[in-house]
Amino acid sequence: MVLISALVGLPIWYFSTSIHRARLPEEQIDQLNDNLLDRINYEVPIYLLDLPEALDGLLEETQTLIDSEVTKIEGIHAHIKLYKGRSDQVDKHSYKIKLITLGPESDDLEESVYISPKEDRLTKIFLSPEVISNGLVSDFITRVVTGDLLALNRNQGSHNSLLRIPYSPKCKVSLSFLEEGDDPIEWDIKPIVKKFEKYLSSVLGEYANFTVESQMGYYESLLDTANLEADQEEEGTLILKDTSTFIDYSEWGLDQDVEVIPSINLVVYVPNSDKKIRIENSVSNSFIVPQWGGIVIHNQEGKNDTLMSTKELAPIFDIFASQIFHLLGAPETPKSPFIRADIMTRSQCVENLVKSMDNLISLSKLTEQLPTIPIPEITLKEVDESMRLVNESISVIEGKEERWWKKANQLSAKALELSDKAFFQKDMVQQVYFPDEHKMAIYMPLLGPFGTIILLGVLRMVRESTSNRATKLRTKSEVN
Amino acid sequence: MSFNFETNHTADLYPNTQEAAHYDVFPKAIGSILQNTNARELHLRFGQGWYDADAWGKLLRNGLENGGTGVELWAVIEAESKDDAFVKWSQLTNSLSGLFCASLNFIDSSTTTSPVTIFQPDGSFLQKIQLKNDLYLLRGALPREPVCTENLTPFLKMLPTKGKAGISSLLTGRKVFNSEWSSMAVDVLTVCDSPNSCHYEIKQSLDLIKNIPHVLDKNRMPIPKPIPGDEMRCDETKKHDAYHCFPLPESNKLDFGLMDLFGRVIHGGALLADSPTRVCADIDTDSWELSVNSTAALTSSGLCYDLNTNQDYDFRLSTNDSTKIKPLEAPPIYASRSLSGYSQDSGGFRIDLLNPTNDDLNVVVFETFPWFVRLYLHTLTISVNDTTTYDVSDRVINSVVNEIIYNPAVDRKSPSHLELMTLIPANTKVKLSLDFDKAMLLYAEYPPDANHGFEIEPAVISIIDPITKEINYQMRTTTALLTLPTPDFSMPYNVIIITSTVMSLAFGSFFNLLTKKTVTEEEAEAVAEQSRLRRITKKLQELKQRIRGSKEAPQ
Repeated sequence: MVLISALVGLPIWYFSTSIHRARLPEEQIDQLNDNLLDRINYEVPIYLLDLPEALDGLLEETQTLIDSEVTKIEGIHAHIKLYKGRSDQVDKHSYKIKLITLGPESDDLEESVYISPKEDRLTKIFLSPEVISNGLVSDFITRVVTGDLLALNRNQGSHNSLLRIPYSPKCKVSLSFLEEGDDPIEWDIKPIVKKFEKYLSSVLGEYANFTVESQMGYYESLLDTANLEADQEEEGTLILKDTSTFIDYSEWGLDQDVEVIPSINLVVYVPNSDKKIRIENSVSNSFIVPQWGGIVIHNQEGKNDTLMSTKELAPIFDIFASQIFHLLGAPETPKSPFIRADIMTRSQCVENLVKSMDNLISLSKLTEQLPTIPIPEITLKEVDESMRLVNESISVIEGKEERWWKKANQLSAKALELSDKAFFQKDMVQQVYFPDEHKMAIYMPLLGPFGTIILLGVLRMVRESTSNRATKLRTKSEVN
Repeated sequence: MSFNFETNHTADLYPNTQEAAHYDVFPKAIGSILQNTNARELHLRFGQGWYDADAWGKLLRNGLENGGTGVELWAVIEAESKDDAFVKWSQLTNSLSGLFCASLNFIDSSTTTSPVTIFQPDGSFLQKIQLKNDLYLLRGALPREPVCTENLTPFLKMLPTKGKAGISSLLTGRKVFNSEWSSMAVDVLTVCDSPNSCHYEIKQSLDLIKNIPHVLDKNRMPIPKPIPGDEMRCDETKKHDAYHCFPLPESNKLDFGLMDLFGRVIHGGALLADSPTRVCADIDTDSWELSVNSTAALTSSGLCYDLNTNQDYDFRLSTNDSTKIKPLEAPPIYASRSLSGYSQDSGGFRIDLLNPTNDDLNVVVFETFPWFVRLYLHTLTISVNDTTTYDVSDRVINSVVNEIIYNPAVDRKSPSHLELMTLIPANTKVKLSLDFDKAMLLYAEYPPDANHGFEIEPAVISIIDPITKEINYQMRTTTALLTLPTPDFSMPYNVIIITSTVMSLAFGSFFNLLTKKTVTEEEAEAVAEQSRLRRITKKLQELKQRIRGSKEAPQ
């Protein structure tokens, strides 16, 4: 019987109760994580355009100044490398600085900076002869580059703000045109929405893939009027003091998104023509709902026709564009949206890498701490793939290609997605909630009686041996 | 009572991702679901209650927009392969489940069928456009799903007026679902005018059957109380005084408005629409009167009224004799399905079909059974006019059942799917019966209240036009409640305990055999003398004797 239970019972028991645990490459994960921050050493090239031969020394001087400035900043950040370039050779999407010397005849002798808001990412630095003669040119360029152009010391704060929508490589922008009344407004939105979409893909195309969707809403009455106060000065104007209860998500049909990808909701609300709503302390009459979207209240200022022209919509879309930047956590400066998007993409790429490594580290810690959870093969596959992508992304960063961040960001986003998948693997979590008490309850009927019998047997044995010893002692003493 | 809504939406079948999708009156949620799943047609039905065809006559719009009890969904999905279509289908059911707050996500491969003769797509758009892939028709139903307010709210929100204006402003869950029978339908079709311009057409409808005297009674007295003495109408031909009264039957006078039926009035017309909101009454004008309560001027044509202002409207109907109603149109077919048999392991279905018309009818009986109903097609018997019964092997049966389409079930994977194409002769009653075995389910497959039974989805009975092959009339039977043998759910634990007990008993005796030594009786006695228990009992005996002794002493 012992043989049967050992040869048949034990293997069956073992195989039916054991769980599959794939071996995660824990050491590799740790290693990659330890080296991660050192390896992410990215470079942002800046071209000084059409620099005369005589000023070669200026380039080196400025580079040393920038380097010393950059090392003061903590955390992962850009290493700025200055290059010389001719305006006809440099890629049109690269950062360019053009030095312009103000002639003594110009009226405005102040040195100033002009950063182009267009795609060319050109910065013009106007230098007065005074600065040049004092040899402060390199100092000035350094300040412009680290301070204004790449906003090195400021972008950390805004990136982690509460407003920010969690990053996703795909993102939906959902435009809603809502009106309070039933009098249909003729929205001329087609051309402007098209333009807006183009703008998004050209500016933010490298950061994430945006799709635009728009909808109309009618009969969207206001949820509560308690926060609306009549304005003392202007007849028929209501002032919105508290914006927190203004939006009625369920009634306005804003909660009907069934897709998985996150969406940024941008809403225009048009109150009935007999009243105006102004948001207190808001010039643009708009507000942002953290991690959700933005809303603009557009009053029909005594208009008679129900046509909403492209011209009237343009300022609303300007507000939308700035709201999107806020919601994505873009830095406040510089003014150029292209440069802001670049900064965002770069820091997002680093964040994705750090986050995916965090995920993998947590996963390996979790599996270490919970010996009862199974680790399916698919998790292992995802972990491997994610690590491969992290490595690839880092090598793209190190490759220092022109505008490398586009590719690196895409790879890192994929790595993050996979590491998330690996961490939240459904099959893994299933048995975590199978508590040990249940196992106890199953084994108790068997182990209880067995244990009792053995325990009593041992007790008896102990007692017998002590009494035996006592009798032996007694007999011994009697003999003596 | 029937509510009908229709909206259109222009969309590209193959959307260019660079182009923004724009939704005006068409619900965005539905639009994005259709785009994501490549569904070209979508039909959703919510039904509640039993339709009494004898009392209520023919179904509205020939029953083509009514559902059976529970939820029913069928869709035409464009996909590269059948597997691909199924992936899209699961995505569709999951999205719709979230949108309509219904457990549509429970439609999986074990409840999904591909009907062959009915539920076919309206292929008219195919003539205008060349599709890139094939179309697949998939259908699933959840007969157990209770239909309630949480399904009505999203239904109303899909309307451009969001239930705030037009006839939809009457609809509230509390009043809609206390009707005798209700059915909600959402149909989305693709319509193409030319290869480059296709649009979706959404049609929503809601049909109700209300018992008006009952509703009015309930409004008057939410809790039923006896009628007070002074309001009692006594039969004056019989004895009546302060203590005696033979009540007269209820008065045939009726006077009610929309306010009584729905607790609301119509909040103006839906002014967004191309054609104004229209309210029609289908009444016998000789004995019924229709009046309108509104401050707005009305344009009417016959018994239809166009609501084109945003004023409130209430319609009232009154009559002196509520028995005089318009004659009901009789349904072209009566059908019912019932379960037969009483044992735990087998049973049978019986479908009764009655053709009351003077024409022969081509009828398709469509049924799907869950895999645990193991159907035996060879047991199909048919009896005509309750006189003779024919087996499936009889030649005669071919004159009634022309064709049988049957996909047998695969355990836990797909349901059995049966389509019987029958020819029911004029004024004839046909009874079809089938036997089945009940399968045992796995322990974990039983629902929480397994003893309630398992709902079998309604059979769909359709009359097919013999020439055009179009469906002329469609009705559904009730759901059937099947009881399966249910185990005692504490059984696994009992088994564990019993085996453990047996094993520990065996272990105990083995253990004793191995560890105990044999002694002679004398030795045992000697040991027993020394045992603590013996000593204590001895002491107790001594004590007892001493007490007895002291008791005896005073005497």
